[in-house]
Amino acid sequence: MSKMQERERVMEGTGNPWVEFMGRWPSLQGDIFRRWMEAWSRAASPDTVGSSESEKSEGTGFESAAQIYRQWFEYLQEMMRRFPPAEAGDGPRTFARMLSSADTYTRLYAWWSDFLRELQKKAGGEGLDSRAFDELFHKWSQGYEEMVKGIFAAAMPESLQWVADLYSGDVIRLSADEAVHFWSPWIDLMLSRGRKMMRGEAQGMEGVTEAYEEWRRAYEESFGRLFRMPAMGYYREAVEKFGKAMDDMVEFNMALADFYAALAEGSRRGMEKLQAKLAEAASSGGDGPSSFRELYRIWWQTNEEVYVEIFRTEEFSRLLGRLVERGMNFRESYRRFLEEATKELPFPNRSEMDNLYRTVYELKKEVRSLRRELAGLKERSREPVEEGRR
Amino acid sequence: MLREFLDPKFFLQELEEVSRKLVKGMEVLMTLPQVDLEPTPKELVFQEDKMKLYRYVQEGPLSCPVPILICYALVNRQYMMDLQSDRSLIRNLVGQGLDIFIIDWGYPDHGDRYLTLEDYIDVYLNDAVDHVRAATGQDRINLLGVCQGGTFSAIYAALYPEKILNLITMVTPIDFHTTDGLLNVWSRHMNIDRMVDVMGIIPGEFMNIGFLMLKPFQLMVDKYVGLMDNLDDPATVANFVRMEHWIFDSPAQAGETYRKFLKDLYQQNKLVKGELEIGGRKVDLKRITMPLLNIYATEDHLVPPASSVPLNDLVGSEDKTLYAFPGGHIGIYVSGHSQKELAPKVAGWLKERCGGGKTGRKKAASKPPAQRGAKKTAADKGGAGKPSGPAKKRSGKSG
Repeated sequence: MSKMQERERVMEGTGNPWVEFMGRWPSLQGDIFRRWMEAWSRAASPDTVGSSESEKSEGTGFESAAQIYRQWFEYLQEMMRRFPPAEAGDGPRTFARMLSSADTYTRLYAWWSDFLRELQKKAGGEGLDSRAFDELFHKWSQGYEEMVKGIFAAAMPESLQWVADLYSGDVIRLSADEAVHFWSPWIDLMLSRGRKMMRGEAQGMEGVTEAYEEWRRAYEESFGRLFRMPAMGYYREAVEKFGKAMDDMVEFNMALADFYAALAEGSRRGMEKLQAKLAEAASSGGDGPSSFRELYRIWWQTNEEVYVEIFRTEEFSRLLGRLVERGMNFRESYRRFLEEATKELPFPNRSEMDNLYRTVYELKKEVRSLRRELAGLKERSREPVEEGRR
Repeated sequence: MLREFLDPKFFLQELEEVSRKLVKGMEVLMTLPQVDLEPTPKELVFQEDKMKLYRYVQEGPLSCPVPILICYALVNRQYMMDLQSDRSLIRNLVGQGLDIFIIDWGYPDHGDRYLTLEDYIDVYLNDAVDHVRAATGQDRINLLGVCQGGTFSAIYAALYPEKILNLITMVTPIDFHTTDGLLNVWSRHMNIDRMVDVMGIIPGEFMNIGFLMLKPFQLMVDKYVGLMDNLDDPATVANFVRMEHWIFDSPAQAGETYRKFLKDLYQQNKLVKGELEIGGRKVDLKRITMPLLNIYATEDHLVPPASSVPLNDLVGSEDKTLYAFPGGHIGIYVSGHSQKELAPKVAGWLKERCGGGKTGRKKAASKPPAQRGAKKTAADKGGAGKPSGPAKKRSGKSG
């Protein structure tokens, strides 16, 4: 029995996911790297370079760096899922953020590698003119934009989670309203699209904006009318408020799509600027970045510059303001619906609590003022009374 | 360079390297014990609602009899100034023989949504000042405001100049209409009324998005890539995690306070214009006639120098010092340069101006607590504040 097998044997069955994972990690790593090495060996063989698209689709060509990267990262995430959730403390939370950054770092390498490989093939085969380069770059940059968007998405979903959570099945069940049940699949569809977008899974920024425009038209012609239709019966108010919330959600998602489109514009500009920097370095006789780490440094600093330029514009500032305002509109109208739908339940809602908070606040203020007045009176009563006033 | 990308061996090496670092990261971070924060000993001496006032233990002789009250921002937590023993402005100031009090604003919840800027300045800050005056027997004390706490302090000093001997502001926003800072630019088109009306209190996470977006690539990607390179150094990892804890330890903002601060200051710049009103009184910065030390960070991306520097031209003080610290908004507290330079600078400036505070207050002065023999008080257990008793060292949230 090898040392490795012995270690695995000892660690298995301990019931501790960390110990079990660490025991299995080396062999899992070995497997996946072996598979990749084989794929890369095929890719690196002279027969493969310049192979046709059809060959690749049949699986005889090379696996791209992006594909390999994806496998690697999915595998890594699968491993991470075996662990306790990240809320266990500062260390695990920091690790989760580090993992996300490793994703970006490695993905950048993969995309860059693919781009250069394609470039080399073009140069060696069909020849490379500026148009061919532009086409290639455009195709490649679409995937790249998704990666950059992922950086922002890493911060966004957690904080915008309330948008997604509002439509979890729990809320729908809570209302126990058949009409809401009827609409919920449609809402779920919408929500899943929004979630994908926030996670950076939706394809292409213009695509997202366009999809929302189409979706909105469809909404206006179908459910939009339904939601605005005068409701009747016991649930009339709840139905009307739900309709208003849906309207506001549409508006919010439109603003969100615009916001992500602005981020995508940043990634495009960032890449153009990076290209220009690299070209300038090459034309001035320099070697350019000497390692991937060096390229990575230039990449993130260039992007930072570009995004700060965009963020500083009046246009972006207005867009951000619109996004927040529409988010607030949606949040409020949805809360109104929730309060209406749950008014028969035996707990106070936010509006009622706010009234209570205001009352408590004003009472505390009054008590403070009275205490001070009393303290002042006590102080004065202790002062010696003047002779003439006795 | 090109070869590195075209040769699969390099890519695999890079992946393998990243995998190795991530495994190391898991090993180190997933099992990391909760980090210690706020190492400098202190006692809870006063409490009012969620506001707590602490006094730092002083074992040596006082170099200045007039105490300093530190007023931190409502955004983020005051322990940035005492993050760890070798990165602690507080510790360094205590080491300079200063008697230091600090305000902890706590974590507002929905019940605090109606707290106003007046409540923070005229009630909590004013009561803290009065407590420090009473506890030390000094009529006038030194007030040191940090970031938003500096704005509060400037407003307070203008409203209550008779209680302040010296004013020190650090990385303090005063002129909000600069375009150098993204927060200044973004705030102009925010519908603040809508935000406060709907959310009641402004969640800390909401504020954090804004802060992270100021430097998205550095703060969301590169700093963690950098961490991967340093996982073998336990001290570096612990320092990093401490800072992470602080960055994401963001209290919510009381809605009405946020409304007035954002609308009157960020959007309408009323402080600089002399139009800000607190409790019906105009805040006139010219009423600040005590000595002023205004410290700003040259690389500050949160409060740009253009926002801090104008204070010196707006006050009525004749004795005023503008001090440029080479660094950023946070580096001013944690950088190595700061540890050597900032505390001596502040202490030296104060020592030259600490003679005139005492004017014979009736109440007996208490000495700063010494570490040995300090006991836990009722106030420390949640009761109302009377002096003495060491504070619990908190690594998490407190109310």
